[in-house]
Amino acid sequence: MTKERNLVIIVLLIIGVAALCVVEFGFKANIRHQEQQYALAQLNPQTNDFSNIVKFKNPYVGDNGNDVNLNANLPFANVPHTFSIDDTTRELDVLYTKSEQDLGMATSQFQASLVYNATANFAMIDNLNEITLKFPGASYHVTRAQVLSWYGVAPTQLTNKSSWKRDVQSKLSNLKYVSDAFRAFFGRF
Amino acid sequence: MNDLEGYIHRQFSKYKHKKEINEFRDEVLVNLQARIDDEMAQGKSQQGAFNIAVKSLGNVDLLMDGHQEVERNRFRRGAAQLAVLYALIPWIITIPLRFFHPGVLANTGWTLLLFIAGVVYLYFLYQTGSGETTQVINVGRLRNVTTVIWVLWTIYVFLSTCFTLGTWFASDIWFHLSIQIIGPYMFASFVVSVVLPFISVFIPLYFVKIQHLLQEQKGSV
Repeated sequence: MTKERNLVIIVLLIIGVAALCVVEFGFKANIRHQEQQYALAQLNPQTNDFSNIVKFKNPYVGDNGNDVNLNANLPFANVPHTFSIDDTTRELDVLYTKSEQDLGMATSQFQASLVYNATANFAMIDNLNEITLKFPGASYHVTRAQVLSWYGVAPTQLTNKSSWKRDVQSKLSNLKYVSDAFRAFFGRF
Repeated sequence: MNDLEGYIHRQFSKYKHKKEINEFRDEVLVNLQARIDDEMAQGKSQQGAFNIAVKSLGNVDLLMDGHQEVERNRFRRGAAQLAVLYALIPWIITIPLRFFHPGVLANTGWTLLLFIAGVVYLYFLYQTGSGETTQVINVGRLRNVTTVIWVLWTIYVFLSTCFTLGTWFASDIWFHLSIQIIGPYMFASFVVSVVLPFISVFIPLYFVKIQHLLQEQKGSV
């Protein structure tokens, strides 16, 4: 009986170790890899997940927690940043701690991210009037009126998946569009 | 109290003073006294007669109901082997549950238990026999311990299930939010939370199996 049980123990141990390896180094490693890919994709304005940011649609810019969570799911989320809210002018300042040079991004990618983040903030926060994205040595300011003028519709009307993809995200693959939008938003070249 | 009375009292001191045990103890005392008188009548000294009588009594534990003598090392080896087996099965069952946080915790716990059981088993497996080779097991007490463990396990499973159902669904009572299980992952996470405590059934089952082990080894001494 003892020997049979020992045999059962050895067989079960082999099965267990094999199953553990498959789960940990197979399935879970694959999931971790997909999660990393997903997290990276969120930093790209063209692949940012709309369903992940629409959860933070909110009527008030004064809801600081919501502002934080929204921007934590947008491009530049990996850049350490703080917020400043002016309730009277309903202006949101996002203060990033790294400069454009430190980020090492292509100019078009940097500009596309700024356009996308500004659009997302105006689309998701109903009473936001102005936003300034500040980096060491440079700041980018845009108003709701400028964004409305660029898209031709109120930013809040862009908050459905198809409009977002069609009118915001897909157009950011066009370098001329990005350059024009950046100029229209921030008045720079 | 003479030497014999003192000896008998010491032998029975670990048993409760129940009427039937006291009667049995008195009966043993009378029989031993008779044996001593008999030996002395045949010319033995008082100490010699006492030693012969005490030796003839043997292990008092074995005279009590619900006690069983087993080979110490063999029994310990068997018990440790069963512990390995009964930690190994839930360890394997909980491996697929490692996709969920409670599953990781449970599987890690079983891994730890399996490791300890494995070390103990290997120790007994390679231990060379020394000193006392037999051991008396109080089967009745083991049965009581098993019953207590079953009761504790039932309480644990009941409370865990209530807690899990409460955390998933009872917030609806206070926060007036509808119950929502969104998607298969969330459903699986809920099922895992409910099922996990039941896997600990291998602990009371181990104690049941120990009783079977005693049955297997009965009469082998």
